[in-house]
Amino acid sequence: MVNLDKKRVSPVKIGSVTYPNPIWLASGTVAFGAELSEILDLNMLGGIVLKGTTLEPREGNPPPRLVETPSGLLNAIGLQNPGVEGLIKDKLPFLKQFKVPVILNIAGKHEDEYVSIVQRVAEEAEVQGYELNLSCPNVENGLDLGTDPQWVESVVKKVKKVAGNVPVLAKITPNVTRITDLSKAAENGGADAISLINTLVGMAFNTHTQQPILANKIGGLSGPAIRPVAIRMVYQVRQTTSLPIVGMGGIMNQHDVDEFYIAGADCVQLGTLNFVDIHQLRSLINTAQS
Amino acid sequence: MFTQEIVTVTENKPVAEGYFKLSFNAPELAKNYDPIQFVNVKVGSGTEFLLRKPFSIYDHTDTDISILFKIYGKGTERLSQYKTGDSLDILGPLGTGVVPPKDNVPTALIVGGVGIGSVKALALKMPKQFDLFYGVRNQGEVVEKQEWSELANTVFMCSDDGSCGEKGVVSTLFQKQASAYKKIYVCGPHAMLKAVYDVCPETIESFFITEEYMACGFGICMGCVIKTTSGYKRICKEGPVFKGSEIIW
Ligand SMILES: Cc1cc2nc3c(=O)[nH]c(=O)nc-3n(C[C@H](O)[C@H](O)[C@H](O)COP(=O)(O)OP(=O)(O)OC[C@H]3O[C@@H](n4cnc5c(N)ncnc54)[C@H](O)[C@@H]3O)c2cc1C
Ligand SMILES: Cc1cc2nc3c(=O)[nH]c(=O)nc-3n(C[C@H](O)[C@H](O)[C@H](O)COP(=O)(O)O)c2cc1C
Ligand code: FES
Repeated sequence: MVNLDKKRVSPVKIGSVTYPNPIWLASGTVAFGAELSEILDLNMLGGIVLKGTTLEPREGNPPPRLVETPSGLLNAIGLQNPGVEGLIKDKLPFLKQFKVPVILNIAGKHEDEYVSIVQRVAEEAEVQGYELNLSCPNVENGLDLGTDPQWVESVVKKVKKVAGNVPVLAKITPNVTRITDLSKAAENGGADAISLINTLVGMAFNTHTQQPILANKIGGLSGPAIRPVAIRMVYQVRQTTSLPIVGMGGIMNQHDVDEFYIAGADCVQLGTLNFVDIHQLRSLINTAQS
Repeated sequence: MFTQEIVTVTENKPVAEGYFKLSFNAPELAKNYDPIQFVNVKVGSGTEFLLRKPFSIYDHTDTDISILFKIYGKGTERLSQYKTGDSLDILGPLGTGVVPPKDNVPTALIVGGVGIGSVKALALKMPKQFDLFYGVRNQGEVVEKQEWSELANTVFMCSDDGSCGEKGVVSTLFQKQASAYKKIYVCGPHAMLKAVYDVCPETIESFFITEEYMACGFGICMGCVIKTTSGYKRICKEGPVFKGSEIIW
């Protein structure tokens, strides 16, 4: 039996960093923290994972970028972000006023980009984690590369070489048949933790126009609809590794958080919930304070 | 500053065919919003609808806020069933509102259909120096006709079927008199916004109230963008009002 009372308030050690509690916020659902800080005390979080950052600025996909599906949110934002220089200059300084551990989420087009982004950030700023988005299904080629265990191992290895003391979290893609092939590859590459799951690839049509609703046609599904898939994957990965697991996917309340702990997660990230219910978000954060 | 609040519905009544005006008790919000700001409303319970749905703040009293909505799909259908005393979970005020112009430059509000729901708060706070161009499908869709004729200098009506005002579209109606104005605020479906932009002389300062699917409503998901001359901007944060010259149409 998992001791839930203990788990809910336990600090989480990943590599050289101890995160104060197991409730974090997920990449792409907090932007870079500023807007959320108007309504939420960021200092109470175990960690905040910033919007996926690329080497060059990206303008993202044309709208419509999102649509609601049964118990889910289908999105194709297309990684709109200011690029690593914009991150360093305009986004990270704001977060200095908070004590919350800041985790960057990095999205490269190829291995070298992951390395370049980490090197650039390491020169300029202090962060408490690099989460490698090895799974963004919305961006050209992202899917194909991230499903290849050899590539995953190689990217993680290269990033570890330049990351110094900062933990490297491998956010592997869930859009594969055997998730453990990827988690093992990330572990072999030297990852300090495994993050899962990212969104599942999906699609929705407008039946009147018979056109896809998203301008990008295909998007990533998040929210309660994907939770059983996420729970299954956390469970399977837990059977094959002792690395810390950062679980996410459809968490809406304390029951859902607990389910992730039971499946084998050491901490969780809240994503789609941030868009819908700040009261519930606060309540989960309050429970995590020891 | 915006907050999430559980409010109590004080009234929900039909005001035209398929249109409802829903009021709820929110004294703080009633004091602290700017015209064109909106609230993001959780409709139904649990994950009946996962995402909130955005509605402009229509009007207020000392204690209450109201929204005006048209039944489009399941969410607005569900919202139409709310009764006095029901509670509703809202997030707001959201978006960058408009500071009502103090100058008395000749101004027109140009609205199509439910677009009327977004401009009343502005109309109430403007000097009585504006005309309203109001386009509807048919007579049954007209909202608060009497009140608007008191708020505006002149109301110019048109309808698709000619059942009220001129027969035709509001962009054409406006075009005929465009030279009389220096400033316009436009709200309605995207095609109508574009039609007005296309006939609007460059000498007029134009503001368009835009819409897009939203998730968060406060700038964290990057879902609700519109293409502008300085890249994609968030309708819920930098918007919903953009200058005509700023939008890439
Ligand atoms: C800032 C803002 C302010 C708004 N203010 C008002 C208001 O004051 N009164 C009002 O009646 N409505 C307003 N809307 C629109 C309102 O949010 C939608 O009508 C509502 O979400 C529809 O929900 P539904 O579940 O009934 O329909 P759905 O089932 O979601 O959709 C029904 C139909 O409407 C279309 N649709 C739904 N939402 C949008 C959207 N955001 N943009 C484009 N097409 C859409 C869908 O494609 C579909 O054809 C506003 C929207 C925004 C972004
Ligand atoms: C709008 C949106 C944008 C996202 N952007 C990113 C991203 O940039 N990088 C990333 O690794 N994950 C991204 N995600 C995935 C989330 O971090 C998370 O893995 C996923 O949404 C599952 O959690 P949830 O169901 O609680 O939202 C995004 C999700 C959403 C909904
Ligand atoms: S709705 Fe999320 S950024 Fe606008």
